[in-house]
Amino acid sequence: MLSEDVLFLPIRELQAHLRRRAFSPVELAKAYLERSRTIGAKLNAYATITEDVALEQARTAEREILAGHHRGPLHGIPYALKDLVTVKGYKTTWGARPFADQTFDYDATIVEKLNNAGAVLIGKAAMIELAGGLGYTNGFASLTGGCKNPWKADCWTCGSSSGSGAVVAAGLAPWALGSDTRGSIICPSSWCGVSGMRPSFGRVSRYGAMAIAWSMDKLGPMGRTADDCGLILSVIAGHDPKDHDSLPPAQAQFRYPASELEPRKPLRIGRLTNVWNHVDPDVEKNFEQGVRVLESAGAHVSDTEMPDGPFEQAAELTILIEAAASFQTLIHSGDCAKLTDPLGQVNGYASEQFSSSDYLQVQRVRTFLQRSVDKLFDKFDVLTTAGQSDVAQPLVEPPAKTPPERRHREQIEQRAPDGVSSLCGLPAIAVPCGFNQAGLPTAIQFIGRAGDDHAVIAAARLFQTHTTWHKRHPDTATGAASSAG
Amino acid sequence: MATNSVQDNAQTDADLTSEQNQEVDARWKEALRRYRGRLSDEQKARIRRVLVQNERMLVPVREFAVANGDAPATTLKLVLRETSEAAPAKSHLEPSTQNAK
Repeated sequence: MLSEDVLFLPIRELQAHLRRRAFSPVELAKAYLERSRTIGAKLNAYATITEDVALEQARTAEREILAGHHRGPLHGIPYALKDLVTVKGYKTTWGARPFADQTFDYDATIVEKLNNAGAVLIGKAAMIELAGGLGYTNGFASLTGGCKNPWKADCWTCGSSSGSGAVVAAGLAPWALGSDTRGSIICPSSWCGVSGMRPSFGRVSRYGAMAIAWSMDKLGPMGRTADDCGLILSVIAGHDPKDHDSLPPAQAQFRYPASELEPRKPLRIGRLTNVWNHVDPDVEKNFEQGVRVLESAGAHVSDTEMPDGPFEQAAELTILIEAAASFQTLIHSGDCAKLTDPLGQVNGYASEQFSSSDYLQVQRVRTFLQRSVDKLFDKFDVLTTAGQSDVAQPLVEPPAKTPPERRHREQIEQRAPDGVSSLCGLPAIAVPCGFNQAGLPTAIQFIGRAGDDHAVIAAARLFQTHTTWHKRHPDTATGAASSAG
Repeated sequence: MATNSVQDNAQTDADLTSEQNQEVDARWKEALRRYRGRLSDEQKARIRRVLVQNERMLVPVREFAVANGDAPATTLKLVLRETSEAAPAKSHLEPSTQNAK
């Protein structure tokens, strides 16, 4: 059996071991499958484990690698897929009881790309029901129950890519695919101490993935390092005529490594000073230390502010209105009553009451907001702030003490950067930058100009070149931190 | 059938203007007209609270000045040769089996 330290290696190192034949793709897949069955079950990390597919793909990769045929960076590398992406013949539950037995007879475009790259599908990761598309109030809003944080099992992983965060943090696979409509990759990555990237809108095809809000949904990688994210994105990016919002071929493709990563010296970083209402003191301290690391590494960091505007409201309204359309059948049938979360059971009925002029007004305002944010990038390559304002929160059984609508209101009053950047389709990455006093990870995030995914990877790579936080992983036996060495 | 003990009369919210409260009330009544039979009293009340929150979010968006020529961030993408020659996409996410009725 492979040692735990091997199983927490980043993709580039795993790939080097496979090519040197230190171990085989089948050995690697079996090791992750065993952890997925045991540790994964304790964490509620998976909706389905696809052992048959994994072993078949691993055997194929093994034959090809032995024959000297290498398909690229993900060849023979296991991964997990958020359970809103279709895999032919397997359940795709969308994390929701009304779709518990749903299957599709085709693969999503992203699955086709990963199959062609020789990647090995370990399983389908648990998620918040409908990825939170009809609203939710707590981490138990999932077909598979609350997903436990590998760093501290009585804490949540955040959502909606809750299982994807747990899978990577616990070393159940080297990487997992997440989706992000407004923060669903960035938050779980931050709370789970992994490196997660939301690509620019339109860079990765969503054909075969559940829709929440067509104008905001993105798929993206969650892995050990920013370099992992770059390698994965180079495989999954690209134009797809089956996705209405897919970027044109020249803009959609993502070359990595790329010359764009190197000449940006010094990197110009804008530290956002007017985001978040309140930041946890440990999160703030670790973020400030992270900024100093970047300055020591040669980056030019200066303060800046997000422009004024109803970003959060526009983001939330766009999601609510588009979700009322994307889940129209569920809402009209009354099957939304089968959802776990009391807010999700009725939210669609309220969202249906928006008018078409409401929606168009939001979208007209959106274009102004896009332009005002874009101007910031005339001065900066990336913007930076904490990955989240707090660390992983306790996984508390409902009912929550605070009525959900009140919490929702408080959230809207914040200047959460996820709303701004998601509304405008900007790329972002969150990477580990320390721990709080209780041993929970904190994160720093970088936000780039639309289409400039290289910039956020370059900034995160610079940070990870000078830090080792991304090499820490939880002791899955005790829930405590340990160093991967 | 859910009971109808929740009063369908408007309950105004102090944060909103009279006009905004009227809009919330109208939208709540329309939601209840369509779905009353499947909702509990608690759910009806929750929908109204959600509608109040939605109205609050709409306020700054409606106040944002836009002119006649300011187009929305919605697009019609022409089906050009590259797209029309590609394999036709399946009806997006049409399941082969589903638990639903």
